[in-house]
Amino acid sequence: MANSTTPKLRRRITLILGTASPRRPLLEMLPFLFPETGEIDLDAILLEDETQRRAAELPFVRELSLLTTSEREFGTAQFERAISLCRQGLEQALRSAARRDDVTLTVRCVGAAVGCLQEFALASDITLFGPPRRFGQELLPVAFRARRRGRIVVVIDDLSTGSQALAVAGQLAGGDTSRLSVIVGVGAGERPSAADISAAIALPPASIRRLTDTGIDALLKLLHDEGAAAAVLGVNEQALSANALEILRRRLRCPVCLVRITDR
Amino acid sequence: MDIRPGKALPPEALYHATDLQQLRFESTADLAGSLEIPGQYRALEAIRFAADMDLQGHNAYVLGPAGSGRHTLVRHFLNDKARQREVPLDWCYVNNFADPRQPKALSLPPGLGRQFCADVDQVIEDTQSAIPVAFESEEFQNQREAIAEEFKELQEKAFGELEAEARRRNIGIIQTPTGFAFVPLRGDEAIGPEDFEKLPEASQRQYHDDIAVLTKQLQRLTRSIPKQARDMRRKLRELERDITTMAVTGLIEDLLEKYRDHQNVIQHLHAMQADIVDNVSLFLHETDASESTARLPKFLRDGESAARRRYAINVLVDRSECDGAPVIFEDQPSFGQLVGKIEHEAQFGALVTDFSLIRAGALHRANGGYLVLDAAKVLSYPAAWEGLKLAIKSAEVRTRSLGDDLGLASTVSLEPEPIPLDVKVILIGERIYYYLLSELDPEFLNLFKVAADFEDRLHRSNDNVNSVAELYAGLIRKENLKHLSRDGVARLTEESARLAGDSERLSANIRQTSDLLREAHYWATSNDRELIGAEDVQCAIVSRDRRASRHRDRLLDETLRGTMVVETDGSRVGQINGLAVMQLGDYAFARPQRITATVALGAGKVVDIEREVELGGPLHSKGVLILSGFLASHYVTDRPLCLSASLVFEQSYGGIDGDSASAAELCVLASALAEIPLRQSLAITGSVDQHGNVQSIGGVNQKIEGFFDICSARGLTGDQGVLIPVANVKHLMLRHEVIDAVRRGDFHIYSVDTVDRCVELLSGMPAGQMDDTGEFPDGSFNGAVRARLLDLADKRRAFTASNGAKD
Repeated sequence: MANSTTPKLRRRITLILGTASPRRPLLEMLPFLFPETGEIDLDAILLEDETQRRAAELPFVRELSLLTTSEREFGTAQFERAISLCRQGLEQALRSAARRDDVTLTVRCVGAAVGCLQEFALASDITLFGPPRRFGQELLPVAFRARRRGRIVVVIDDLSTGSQALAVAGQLAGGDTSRLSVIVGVGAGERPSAADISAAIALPPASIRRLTDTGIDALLKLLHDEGAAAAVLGVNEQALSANALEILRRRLRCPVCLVRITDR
Repeated sequence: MDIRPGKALPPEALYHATDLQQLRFESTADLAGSLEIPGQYRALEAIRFAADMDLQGHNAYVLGPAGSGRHTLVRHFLNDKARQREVPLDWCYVNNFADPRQPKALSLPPGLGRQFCADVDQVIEDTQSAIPVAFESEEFQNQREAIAEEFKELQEKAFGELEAEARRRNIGIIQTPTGFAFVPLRGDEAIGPEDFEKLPEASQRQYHDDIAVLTKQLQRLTRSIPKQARDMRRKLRELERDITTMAVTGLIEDLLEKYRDHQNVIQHLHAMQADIVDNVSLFLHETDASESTARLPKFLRDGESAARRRYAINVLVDRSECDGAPVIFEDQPSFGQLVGKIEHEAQFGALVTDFSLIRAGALHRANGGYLVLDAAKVLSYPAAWEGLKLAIKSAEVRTRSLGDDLGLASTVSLEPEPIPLDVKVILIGERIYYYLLSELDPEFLNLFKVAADFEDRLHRSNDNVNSVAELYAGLIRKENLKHLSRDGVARLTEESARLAGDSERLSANIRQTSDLLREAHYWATSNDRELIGAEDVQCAIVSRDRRASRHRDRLLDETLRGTMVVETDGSRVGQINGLAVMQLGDYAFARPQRITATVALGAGKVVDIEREVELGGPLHSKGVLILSGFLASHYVTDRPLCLSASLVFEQSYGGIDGDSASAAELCVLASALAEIPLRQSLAITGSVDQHGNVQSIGGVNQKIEGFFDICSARGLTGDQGVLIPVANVKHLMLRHEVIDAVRRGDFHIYSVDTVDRCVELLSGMPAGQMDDTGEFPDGSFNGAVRARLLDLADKRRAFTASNGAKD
């Protein structure tokens, strides 16, 4: 019997969380990335910070709780327990979503090695990682922690490689393209004009900005100026260095969604 | 017309027909017609007085029998009166933003309440658009972000300074899963435990000390965050208030201008504006709806409903359609229907309420006008009477829940602001309620100072007969009935007189005669007549009588079959025919009853057997006791009464009351004493006084007809008849069969004024008058009675003497 069925779309999503980073912004974004049809493999990774482990091994280091402002012991046992609780909490939070949307879920804890972000990004269709916790962030009124309907900024080099990132950004915006901004980077290829982008994704030209510098600081500044609630970047081996990704993870104040650029 | 006592009454005395010459029309079609109730001048004057009297407590109680047209008269009068008065104020309840449990009452000129409600609705609708737009504006968002950024920068600056301070000491701040920690650094990396151990002891101590100092500084820093967050929230609230005020002010200003003459409305609008500013979140539901609220039922997450509900106007009383003062007839005067209700809604299993669920009661609707209530109904609903009195007394309506008052419900409820009350309450009820309330409720006469007493009967004057004809004409037009011919009106008024039990009066029971008119209309239609004539009215009377007379016919049947013994010929000692009236519903009929008496030697006591077995009422017993007085004073003033007599209503198995049989009882007792037989072909009714005068009784027509029916069924002999008190002759309105029999000489009706006259007719002997020596003539009835009493006295003396000697 001839097999005429087309292969199902399978999307691999990697969610990367640090042991000291807030998970809520990422969990809120996650459902928007699930395609309406097809299968999803969700790999949730808890990055264990080497510096934290080393600090925990020092005999005199004490932790100051942000919520209670009280000091307490911070030893290896406390650290291990905190990691375990983090993992359990993450698994619990994802399991219900996975069950609801028929997602294949794995949760694991790995040591944070240099270049691991890029490695994960290239092995997944979409990689999500979040902003670091900011001092005093927990004490802000809920309305100020994140602009739920804030701007989603897409960073692309050209229309051909950026189309996948634009598509994901459109998903995150829930189809509301007025929430999208586009930053056109300094790529190797020909840079698309604003008119091309406007025509391609029906965006007003005012929402399109151009990077004039290849430095990561310039990108961070532009993202900050745009008031990004989420940044969507297309990545391949040439697009962003591991170092740049690490800087983004540490310094960008919004969740980052890396979309692996594949050949069409 | 010879109607002297003791004589048989002529046929003309037995029925007083309406003189057709009195009636100034050919048929009621000639009359304009009116629904005015005739003859109730006294009551109408009282109602007019109560309606005009502005002072508190001059409410009216309209007392009178059912069917007398009380409601009709009151309705007509008050409707006319109300049209001449001003339309009272509209009343609304609004949210009391300072204390939602105590909603505020607003009064507005008539018709403006509904307009105000619509205006406020419009403002709410506009506000629902304006506020989200203002909050979505770039200016607001920028200012909002600026406040947040200011807070963040403040925190990060302090944190950065601390971090720099730590850096200077080769110490770094790291994030831990739940907070922060300080670690010694080498370059940018934290020193591992082995490397730290290799440091000189002084360096290690220095790190210890520095970290302790830095930790204290971080602690101070983190403890300052909540206060700064509070400041930020305050700034945010101020920003929101400013932007909301800006958005709302323009919308409300128009209303402030429109209602500038109504200070209470202006106050409410200002309060509403301030409250919108404080509760702006009610208008931001769509932009702020989170995923969790989106899962709630629609009515809970519906911000539009919440805002509308909070600020809408509850128009309690709307007078926009009124013409004059209100006249409210409340048919169901329960507590809630009178003072209003506070309804509740179920939300998640709990009962909740607010000002919008306050419902008007009859007092609210009648405020500024008249409220007409049925007294019996008010008294029958729990707490309704107390609620009504409280409202009248305090001159204000306090809407509250009866369940709360009685402690039955423990739900959240309201205490709405009382509404000033200016209402004239008209209670309509039976007389008994008026007198009972007067007696038992000390507040009643203070609150209902005016009694409008309806007549039971009207004079059968020319004017009244013609007024009644006008009423019939009005009813005919209203109900589209056939018109009455002149003789039809005459027959109806004759029946009305019979219903009144008096040939010189008309019944004030309009309902009965109106019903008769409707039934006569049926017969006229059946007989294909253009007008309702006397024959149709007669058909209606006979038909109605037949429908109601099952019980009477049964008793008559049993009498004719001999089961119930009533003799209508011959003579008997110690036996007489009395006449009792039975009332079953609207229908009254007479039942002839055999009364017997026995006499023996005794101590002067007349035993009423009905009384002994508790079947006789107090009035009946009174009548019997009068007999003893009469016997002693009339026959033997010089001796003690030495008899023992007993009286009984034979074959009477129910209660009996009234003194209308006392004349019969006296005659039968005298017969038993004198041992003189009485004619069984006669029946007698009448009460007697201690001097032997016969007094009037009730139901004379039914009594005569009751005995006539038995005699007629057995065959009239010409010897039969009924003795009635002279005072009752004017009440006679007998059936035509009776009058015909009298006219033929087959039946007789005698009017009597004294017992002597009765015994003469019943025994056929002269009664005899006592002479100066205290003796009656030989051969007289009274002489025989006296002789027997003296004989009994002698025997008693002899008996007492012989018994005393033996002792």
